[in-house]
Amino acid sequence: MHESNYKRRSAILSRVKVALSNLDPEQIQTQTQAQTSKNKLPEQARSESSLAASFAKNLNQQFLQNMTGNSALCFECQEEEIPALLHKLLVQEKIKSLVLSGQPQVEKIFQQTLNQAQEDTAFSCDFFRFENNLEELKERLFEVAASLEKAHSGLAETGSLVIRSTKETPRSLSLIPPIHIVLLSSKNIYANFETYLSASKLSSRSSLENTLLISGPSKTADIELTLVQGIHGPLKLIVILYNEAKKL
Amino acid sequence: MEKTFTKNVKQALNNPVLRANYRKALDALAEKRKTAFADISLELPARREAAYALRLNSLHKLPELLSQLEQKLNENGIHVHWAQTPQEANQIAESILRQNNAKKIIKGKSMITEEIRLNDYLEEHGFNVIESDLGEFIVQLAGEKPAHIVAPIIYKNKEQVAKLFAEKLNFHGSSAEELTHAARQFLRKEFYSADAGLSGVNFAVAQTGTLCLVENEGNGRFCTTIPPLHIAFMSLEKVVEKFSDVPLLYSMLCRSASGQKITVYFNMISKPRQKDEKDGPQHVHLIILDNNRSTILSDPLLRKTLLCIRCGACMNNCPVYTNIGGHAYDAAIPGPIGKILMPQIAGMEKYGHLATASSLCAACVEVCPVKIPITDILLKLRAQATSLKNLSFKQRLYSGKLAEKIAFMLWAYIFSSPLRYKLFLKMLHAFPALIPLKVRFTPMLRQWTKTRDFPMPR
Amino acid sequence: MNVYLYATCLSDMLNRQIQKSAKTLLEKAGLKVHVLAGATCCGQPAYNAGHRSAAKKVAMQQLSIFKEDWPIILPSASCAAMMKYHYTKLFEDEKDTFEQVLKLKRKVYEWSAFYQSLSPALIDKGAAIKVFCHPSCHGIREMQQHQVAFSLLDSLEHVQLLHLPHEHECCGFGGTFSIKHSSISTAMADRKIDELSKLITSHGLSRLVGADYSCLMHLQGRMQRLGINIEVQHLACFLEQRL
Repeated sequence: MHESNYKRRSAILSRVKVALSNLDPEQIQTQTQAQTSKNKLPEQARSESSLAASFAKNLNQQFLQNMTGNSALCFECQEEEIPALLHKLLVQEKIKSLVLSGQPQVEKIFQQTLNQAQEDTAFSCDFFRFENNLEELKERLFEVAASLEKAHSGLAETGSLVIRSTKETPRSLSLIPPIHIVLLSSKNIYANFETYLSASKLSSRSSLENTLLISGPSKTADIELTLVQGIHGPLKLIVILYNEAKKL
Repeated sequence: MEKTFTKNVKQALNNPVLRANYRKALDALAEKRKTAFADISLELPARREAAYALRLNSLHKLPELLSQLEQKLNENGIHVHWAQTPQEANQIAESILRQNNAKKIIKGKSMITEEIRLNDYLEEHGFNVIESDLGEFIVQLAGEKPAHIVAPIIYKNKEQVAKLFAEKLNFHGSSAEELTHAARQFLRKEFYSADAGLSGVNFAVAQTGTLCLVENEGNGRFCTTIPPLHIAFMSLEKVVEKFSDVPLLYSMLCRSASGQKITVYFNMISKPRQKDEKDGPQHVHLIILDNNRSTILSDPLLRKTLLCIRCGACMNNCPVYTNIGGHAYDAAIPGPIGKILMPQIAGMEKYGHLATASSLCAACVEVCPVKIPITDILLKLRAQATSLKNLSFKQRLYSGKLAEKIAFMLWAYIFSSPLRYKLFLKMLHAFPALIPLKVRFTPMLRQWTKTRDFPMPR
Repeated sequence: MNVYLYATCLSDMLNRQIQKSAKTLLEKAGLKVHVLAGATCCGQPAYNAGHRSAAKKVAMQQLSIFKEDWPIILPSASCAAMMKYHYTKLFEDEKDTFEQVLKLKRKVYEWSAFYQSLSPALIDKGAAIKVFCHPSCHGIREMQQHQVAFSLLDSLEHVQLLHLPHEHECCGFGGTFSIKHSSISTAMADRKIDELSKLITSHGLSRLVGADYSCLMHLQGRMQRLGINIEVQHLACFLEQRL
C-alpha cells in the first residue's frame, strides 16, 4: 500500500503542476496582485482591528464583555481571592466532584480552597488529578461534574481562551466534564488571534502542540436555529480572570 | 440527472411546510450574516479582497504547499494518504480501520465524506458509523441526506425532529433544548466507546502541519480526541500557506456561515498523543482527495471554484435554493457553489443541468467571502455544455440541445443584420393576432405561457 | 452634448414607449439624442444561455454602429452590464475586438444613472401615487446603481416610494432560465408578487415601476395570469408622464 500511496501522490501532484502551468497573462497579473494585496491588505485589516483594540482602554474589560457575550460565566478577582471565589462557586454550582489539571498553580489554589472550606462542614468535593492516561480515567472523566485548569492566554476581541495541550493540560479536560472552570491571568490577554499568533511566535514556529480556542460553552442551533447551550462539550464555562499577586 | 432534478423541484415547490421552513431559516441566517459584518462593514471589501488573494495564492502554490504539508505532518507523526478518486479514499479509510481493528466509528461533520459517500461504503463493509453533529445525527436517524452544508436539517422543524426522536430513540420531548440534550445523552455513550473518530478539515496549514477544525458543538473535538484512532479527510485545495493566513479566513468563515464573530471551538490539531501526554488519539491519519480537482485547476477561471471555504452564505442568500431546498439538487454540495462544483467533480452528464438552474442574479457573488465569480463560472460551464461534440444524434434530439442551438442560430441570423431585424420587427408588429398562435406551437414559449401571460407588443 | 440612445430589443419588440420616453427626458435635460439605427440586441440572451458564437455574431454587429465617441445610454441595467462587463469576457480571446470592447466599456451608461447625473428639474405634475420600484439584479449587483431610481422617485413631490422586505431578491426572470426552469422561475416571481399584493391591499400600492423592462415584463406576465391588476411601467415612462 505504501508504494501505491507514493504512486497516487506523484500522479496527483504532477497533474496539479501541469494544470497550474496554464496561466494566461491576466492570471499572472492577478497573481502578482494577489501577492501584493496579500502583503498589504491583511496588514491593513489587521492593523485596523488591533488599532481598535489598543484604543479599547482595557483589554480585560473587553475580554470579559465578549466572553460574557459568548455565554461564559465570568469573574474578575485578585489572585489571593481565587480560593474563596472557587469555594463559593463549587457550592453555588453544587459541584461534588472535580478533576484538576496537572499544573502546580492549580494544585496549589485548589489546596487553598480546601483549607478555606474546612470550616464549611456542609462542603464536600471529591477530586482527582488528570495524571494517568485517558484509558485509565475514562469512566471517572465521563462521570465527574467539573474540571479546573489554567488557560494559556485569552483573546479580548472575540472573548476566547487559548488552551495548549500539554502533559499537564490534557485535551479532554476542557471537553468531557459538564462544567469547565478556567483560570486566566490578566497578564496573558491579547487583543486578538492575530496578535496572539505574532506575540507567541506560533505562526513562525515550524511545529506546535495541539492548540484550542474556546469561546463559550458548547452550543448548537441545528434545530430550527434555536440556540441551545450545552450539546456535546461542556454545558457551562466558568472563567476566573485574576490579577497576579505582586511579588514581594 | 436532469429528470430527477425536475421531479425533485416539483415535489419541493408543492410542499408548503418545507418551503416555509426554508424561508424562515434562510432569512434568519442571511440576517445573522449581515449583523455579523456590521462592526467591520467599512473593512469588509478589503477583507474579502485579502481573503480572495490568500486563497488564490494557496491554489497557485498547491504543489509546494501539499508537499510541505505532507512533510510537516510526517515529522509530527501524522500519516498522509493520497486518493485520486472517492473509491480510493474509501478503500484507504477501510484499510486503516481494519489495521486498527476499529468497528465502531464516530464521525464529525464533514462535507467531503458526503462527497465520497463514505458512510454508505463503510456500512456496506460491515462498520458501524455514527454521525455526531446534532444535525447530521438527526439526518442519519431519519435515513436522509443533509440539505445544507452548515445547517444540515434546515428543512425540518422541531415537531418533525420530536416525532423522529419519539420513534427512533423512544424519547418524548418537544423543545429544541430537550431534544438537544437527549441527543447529548445518547451520543456521550457513543463517544465513550467508539474505536475511531473521523473528521473533515477546514484549513490545513502547510508551514506547521496543522489541521484546523471549526465547530460549535464539541463533537468534532470528541471525534478527534477520545477514540484511539483519528482519520481526517480533506480535498487538496484546503491547504493554506502560513499560520498567519488562518485568522482572516477563520473570521470570514464564522461571520459568513453562522453570523458568529467566532465559533465555540477552533481546534488546531498538530500531533497524535505524545509520549508524556495523557490523552489524544495514538494514531492520526490524513487522507487527501483529488476527485477531479486537479483538472478543474487547469482553467484559470474554473480554478476559482476551489477558493471556497464552505461557509454556505451563497445558499442562504440564493432565491433558487430558498425555493427548492437543498435536497432537490441531489448533490453532496447544493446551492450556488454546488452548481459550479458538482458538474466539475462528478461530471457534466450527471450535474450539467445544475448550471442552467440559475437566474444569474449574483446574490451569491455578492456575499461570497472569498469572492468566487460564481456567475462567470456558471456561464463558462453553460458554454461548455452547449457543445454537441460528444453526443449521439439521438442524444442531441432527445436533450433538446440541438433545437436550442438551431433556435439561437436563427436568432443570431436575424439579430446580426439591422435589415433582417427591421423586417422581423415589422412582421411582429403587423400581425399581433398571430402571436398567440405562434406561442402555442413554439415549445420554448409554451414554457413561458404555462404560468405567465405573454406580453403583447405595444 | 451628443449622446447615443441604445433602444434595446425588448423595447423594440414589446414596448416602444420606453425608448420614446427615455429620449424625451434626455432631450428635455438639454441633450442631443441619437437613437442608434443599426442597434439590434446586445447579445445577452445567447451569452447567458452559453451560446457564445451566436452571442458574438450579434455583439459584433453592435460594435460596428458606434461611429462617434459619444456616451451610449441604455434604458436597461442588464443590457448596459452586458456591454460594460461581459463583452470583455465574451471577446477575451480575440485581441483586436477586445481592444475595441475596452474602449466601448468606458462609454456605456445605464439610463437612470445618466439622467440623474444631468441634475434634471424634477417638478412633479402628477397626482399623488404610491409606487414600488423593482431594483433589478443587474442594477444592484453589476451596475451598482439601483439607488438612483429610488432617489429620482423620492424627489418627486407626489410620489410615495414603498419598499418590500425582500426587494433585493431576484424576480426569477433570468432569460432562458424562465423557460428552462419555468417552475422555479415562477415560484420566485410569486414570492415577489406575494409581497407586492400585501402592499396593494395594506398600503394602497398602485404602480410597479423599474429601470429594467425584462423583470417588469416577467412580473407583469405572472400578475396578469394571477388576476392581479396593477399598472406596470418603465421608470422612464413613469417620469415622463409626470414631468
